[in-house]
Amino acid sequence: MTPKRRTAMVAALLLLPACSGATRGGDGGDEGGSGRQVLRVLTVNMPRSLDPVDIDAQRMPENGLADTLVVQNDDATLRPGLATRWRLLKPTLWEFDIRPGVRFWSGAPADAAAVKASFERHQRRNTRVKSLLSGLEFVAAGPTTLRVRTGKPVPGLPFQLSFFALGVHNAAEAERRGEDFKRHPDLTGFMKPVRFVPGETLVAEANPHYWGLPPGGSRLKGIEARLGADSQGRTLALRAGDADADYNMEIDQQAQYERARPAFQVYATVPTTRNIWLNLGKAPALRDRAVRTALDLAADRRALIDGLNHGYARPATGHFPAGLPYAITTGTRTDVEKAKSVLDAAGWVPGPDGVRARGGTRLHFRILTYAVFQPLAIALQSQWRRIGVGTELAPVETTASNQMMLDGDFEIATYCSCGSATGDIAGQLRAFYRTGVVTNYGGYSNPDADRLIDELGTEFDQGRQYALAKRIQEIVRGDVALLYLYASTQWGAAYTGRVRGVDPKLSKRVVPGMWIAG
Amino acid sequence: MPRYVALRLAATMPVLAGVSIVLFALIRLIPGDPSHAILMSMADPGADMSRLREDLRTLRAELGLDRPYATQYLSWLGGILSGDLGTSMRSGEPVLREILARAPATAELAGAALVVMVVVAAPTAIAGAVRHGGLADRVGRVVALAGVCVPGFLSGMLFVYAFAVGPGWLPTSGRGGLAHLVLPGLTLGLALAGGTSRLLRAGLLDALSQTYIVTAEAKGLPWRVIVLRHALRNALPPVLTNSGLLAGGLLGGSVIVETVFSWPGVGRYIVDAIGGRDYPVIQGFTLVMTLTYVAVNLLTDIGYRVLDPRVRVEGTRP
Repeated sequence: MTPKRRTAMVAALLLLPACSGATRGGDGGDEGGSGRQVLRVLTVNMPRSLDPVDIDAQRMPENGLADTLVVQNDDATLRPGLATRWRLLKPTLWEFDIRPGVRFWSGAPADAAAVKASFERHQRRNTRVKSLLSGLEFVAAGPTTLRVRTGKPVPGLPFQLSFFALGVHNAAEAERRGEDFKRHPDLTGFMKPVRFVPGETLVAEANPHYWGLPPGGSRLKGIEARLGADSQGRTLALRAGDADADYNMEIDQQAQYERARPAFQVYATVPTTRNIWLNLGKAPALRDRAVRTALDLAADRRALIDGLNHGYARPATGHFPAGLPYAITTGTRTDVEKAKSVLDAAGWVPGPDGVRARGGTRLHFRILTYAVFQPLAIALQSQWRRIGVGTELAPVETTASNQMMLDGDFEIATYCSCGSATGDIAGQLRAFYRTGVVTNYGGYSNPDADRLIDELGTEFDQGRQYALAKRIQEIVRGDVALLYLYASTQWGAAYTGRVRGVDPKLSKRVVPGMWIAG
Repeated sequence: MPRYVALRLAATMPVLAGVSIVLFALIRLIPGDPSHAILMSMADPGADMSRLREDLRTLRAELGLDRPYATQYLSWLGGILSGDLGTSMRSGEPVLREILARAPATAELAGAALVVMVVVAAPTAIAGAVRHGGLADRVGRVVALAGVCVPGFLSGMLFVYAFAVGPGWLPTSGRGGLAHLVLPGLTLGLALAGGTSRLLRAGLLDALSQTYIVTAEAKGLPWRVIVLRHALRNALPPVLTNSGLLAGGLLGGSVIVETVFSWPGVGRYIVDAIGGRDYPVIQGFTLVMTLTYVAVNLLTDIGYRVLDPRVRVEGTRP
């Protein structure tokens, strides 16, 4: 290559940004400056379809596209959505007042009949909510009155109907449009899509007729949601001004964003509990309560919080993170010496390799782990080694771990049941601790806990619900059925400092009050 | 030549059949299937999941996963023979359409990477061979080594930091104008350039030590002509042989690069499909890739014959 050609090539590379229309403002909107009112969002969960009944119609409420009947706040409390109010008429009958005057984008009324048709289409077509909607009967008792009959008392029904996969849509139009509804749906949301590349990009403009607009209308003109598969890539995009919001903030990112305040705003969601599953059926040694107790005592929660979570976590107390009205407040204090003495007293004696044994049975377990939980497994491996418990790691990927957990093909697992804020306390506790339930992976069984869980499932009084939830958690923790480690604020949201009007209770959602400062 | 090509194509049929059977069996040996991926990822944490096993059974039946393996395979094979790669279990879209929708993005990235590779590998290899042991050679070796050793996710991040976050010259991610292509192309291209540069340099060193080069020098040919026309042509066959591996490197590298730069290509799509156990997508994609490999190797062999007329394949006529 001649020097002249070399120079030309270098010059061409340097000039690329200038001639490409590089999207510092992305699609749809003024570039930079105070005039740009297009919120550029990065997320891991881009929808591959815009038909709410499809498996891959993710994040549609969050992107402002779809409304749900009831809206779930970050702390799992509820607020009105397309329903303004709801009440219990009988233990098996709920009534929802549908917001009057709401229309789909096509102009068709989103009345009680339309909402009923929408739910019935979900029942028929939406794989993700089959159990959730099983046995429910929807009745349009008037233009703005929707009744829901349940086969049995379901205290958590309003919460269940706030699930993100239950977007209200024009079912009649969906049948008419067929496959085209995946790209061109008819919804009620604040943002209406104008360009959609499945799994990659969604450009939408604000719906001027949206029912939830603030006085004077929305200042935000649109959104551009883009796939941001890599966490550090998302952070760099926000730092470079290529994006305004990161909706999948990992702990590492949170630390970076926090350090750079006020250039960034951090919204850490209500924490979720990180727990360790113990399979009593698979590993006979785990049936010895002394072993479980020792594992619990030897887990150094402070080290896990500081080392793995940059301090953005607190020691767990039970299934639910402390601070919630249905959480218990006393957790396990790390005590390695006590853990050793518990094992000594139970007859578990260290062998030549340091691993304890009793009657030919060694305290050596396989830890099933996956994805983001592998560092946790590695940390526990070294912590448990100190008390004479040997472990080997069995890292798999997420889908494999799902099946292995269901099949009970594990001894110890970092699989997350992720206890968190919920509006269906009974459902969450039943799923993991009720005897015989498929997601009670460890095979835990306690008749007292079962009885209380069943009682909680039919209890409508909130105060009683909270009391029952606490008693159930005390029993489970007393049995050392699982090990509760820490409650982490992973998976929150971050915005650049210029984004205004973020709803702190709906921090990962595009809302009409948002706008971008100059 | 046409007969040779026809023979080679016929020979790929057993390969394709073997690959399809092995792959069909292997992906079903891994724990977890599409029903697990669909129902258990992003499940509502507050939901009562006591009916999960029943839901899994229902979904497996809907997806046809409860049928015998042989039936599933023959059904898929029947579709292939009629030009249908199947339907994605997650999106319900035809696999071929989904691959074709993403192929341009990956082709664009691969093209940019190849340009970067040639621009980096050729000069460093030639300079290294011509100035063997000199400064240019040492610098070239360092560049090549860095290209081979530094993983794409690291070099990609470093480039983003250097050219996008700091000075803001280029976008950090996504696909758009030419500017979006620079950093991903550079990341992938440099990774490929290292090995190619070393291979070409070795070939050139070998060629430059041959007697015909001495003859050419004695005839008074300019050094540039000797290197570019005589030595380089004889140094290219090993690089050409490597092009099959290069295609693999392009695809493997593109998976990482597409993830780092949120590039909407085939590489990341297939990784998502593997995570979600989207069997038809994995099978269809692998079949397409096998065909691509076969085509690349065939073109390599044809290229050999063009570059070196002495090459003849036994039993065929030129």
